[in-house]
Amino acid sequence: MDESQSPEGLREQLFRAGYIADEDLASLVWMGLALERPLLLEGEAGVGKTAIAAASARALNRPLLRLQCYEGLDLAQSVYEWNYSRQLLEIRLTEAGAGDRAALRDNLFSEAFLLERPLLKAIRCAEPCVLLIDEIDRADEAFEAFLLEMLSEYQVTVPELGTLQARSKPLVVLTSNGTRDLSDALRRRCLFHYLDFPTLARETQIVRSLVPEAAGRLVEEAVAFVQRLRKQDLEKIPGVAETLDWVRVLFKLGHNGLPVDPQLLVPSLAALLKTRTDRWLVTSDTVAKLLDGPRIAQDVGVAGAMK
Amino acid sequence: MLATPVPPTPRHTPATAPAIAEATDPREQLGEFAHYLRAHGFALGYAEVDLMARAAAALPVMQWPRLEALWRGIASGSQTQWTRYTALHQAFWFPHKVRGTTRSSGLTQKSRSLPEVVAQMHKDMANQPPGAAKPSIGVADQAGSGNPDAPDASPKAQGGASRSAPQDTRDFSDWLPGDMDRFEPLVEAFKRRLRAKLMRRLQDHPERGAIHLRRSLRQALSTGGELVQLHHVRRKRRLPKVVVLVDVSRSMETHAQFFLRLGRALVEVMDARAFVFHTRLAEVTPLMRTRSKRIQEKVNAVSFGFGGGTRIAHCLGEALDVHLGRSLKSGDIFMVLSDGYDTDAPEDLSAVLARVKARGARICWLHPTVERPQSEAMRLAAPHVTHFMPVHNLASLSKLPELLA
Repeated sequence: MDESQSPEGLREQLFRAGYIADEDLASLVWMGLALERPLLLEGEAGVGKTAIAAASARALNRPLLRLQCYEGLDLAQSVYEWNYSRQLLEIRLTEAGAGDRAALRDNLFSEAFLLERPLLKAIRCAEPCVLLIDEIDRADEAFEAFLLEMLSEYQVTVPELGTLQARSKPLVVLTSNGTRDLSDALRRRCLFHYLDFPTLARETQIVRSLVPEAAGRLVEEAVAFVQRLRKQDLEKIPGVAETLDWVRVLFKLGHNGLPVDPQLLVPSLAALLKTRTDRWLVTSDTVAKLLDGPRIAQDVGVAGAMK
Repeated sequence: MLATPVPPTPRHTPATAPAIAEATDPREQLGEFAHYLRAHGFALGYAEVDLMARAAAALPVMQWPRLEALWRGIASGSQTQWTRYTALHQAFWFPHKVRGTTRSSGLTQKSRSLPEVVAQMHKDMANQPPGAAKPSIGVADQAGSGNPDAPDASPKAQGGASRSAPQDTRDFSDWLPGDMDRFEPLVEAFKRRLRAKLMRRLQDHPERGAIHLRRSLRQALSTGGELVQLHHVRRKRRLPKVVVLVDVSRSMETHAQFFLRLGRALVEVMDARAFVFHTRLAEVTPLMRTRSKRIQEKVNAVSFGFGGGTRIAHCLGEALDVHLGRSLKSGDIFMVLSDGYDTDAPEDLSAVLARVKARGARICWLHPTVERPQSEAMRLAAPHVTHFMPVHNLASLSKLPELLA
């Protein structure tokens, strides 16, 4: 039986693809597959929203198509564009007597002259793929409105051609950092999941599996440190991606555990703290306090969760 | 055919939900649940309910505990709803668990002080249509109050009070913290009235506007000189900027936090720049943008550490010269939230406001008193103020768009 037939099986597949998903997230991805509904993932930057799409593609053995949204994104860059140069070339060739005029008239606006961009490509794939629409909150509302047709009916309307139906239905993953409110219409078409920062146990597990070369003590202490750092009043709270970077930096510096002297640690914090205010806020005194916090084995619930 | 969508536990006791105790058809039960969620602010349509049923049918029967995660994904549309869903799900489908926990452990949840409970009740009453909400969670959720046999557990316990409390006309100083979420819609209305200003500078537009010949011809080089794609340009439009300055001196103590809240709404909705002033001035825009729980403490630390007096003219001058620089332009809105009691020389305020006006900005003075501020400084400065507006309750705030008239 295909493992993706059940949420537990899919979770296993995601784990093998290098993504440690909690039960809820795995269930949601499974539901997205079972009900053919897009997933809308919201959360702080660096918690693994984009990574779940890549991991799903690997786990399901599907190609990944990615559309990075930005202000001013239009249909020509996201859906389709007519290949004007090629059309003109064909016209010139026909005029020069090298082609059939009637056939050209019928075919000038056909799929042969259509340049497929990610959204169209995703639904015209023979095999289902994973479509990642990254940072949808950066795109304009007009583009969001266009997505409604594509996400609910899995079809795209090209005025010259008519409606292009999906050959296969992709697993669509939309991510948002919450910089602006998405429309209710879009939200209603999606399955929603809010990705929060992982718990200590889960984050330790993630770092262990993705940075296997780092010593176990280093990983545990570093993750515990980051978890405490997140409770500080920072402008930009470090995500999992930052923790991974930091552990890699510490490993390259030759540490097997967090150094006792906070001064040694402060330069490496560049991997965790990404704004000037945060750098200014987290002084060596703050680092010393964070280092002196309860060690990992004493943190509530960790020992149990790790078993 | 629908599989078993509900957990194999009795859903409601007659004491807590007499109206829905008889529902046995899974779809009917699901409908009741959707109704319950709607009463708590979830936007669930028929499509979502159908999807919930399909999700339940698709899930292997043995894995029914996962249903909560699946339905949560379908029903929620925002982080707030995402966070609330679990409690609602538990309260609806497993009310005995909710009450059981309360009984066995006494205080399992964070205890609330009476003002918080009152504030929450106010908020709930304002958000829910009368009679739509089921009382089970509202009562059982509170530690020590989940006795189903108590006479107050009947629906009338929550639905009896009138929601026609004259909150709109109540002074801000009488407001409870829970009432303050009502600024955003008013500021939205204000934003809708803002008109963009047409500039002389041109800007690319994908499909409308005059044809930019030079760019179109340049583009045509890639198609052998044929003008296949045209470049359009339109005159640039610029939305007026809003600058809001909140007086947090001692004389404004009772109103300052409401004005700060209004300032925050303006920052969030209209991307305004916010300042607080006292005897000195400080910009608080970044603090108001940060969704930190400690924002109020930070703003307080910035604003209340200065002293007792007010130097309005000096602070407005500093905002204009140091912080705003040349960014304040024609059509922008310079909004001062103050009672007008100034310790600077009376003519200073008039001079500063004249400079603001000379830039073409509109000066709106929002005062917490019903009457216009009567101080000498204000009397001299009044000719430069485009609009005075009393903001002492919600009804007066609803006139905010009139500032743009």
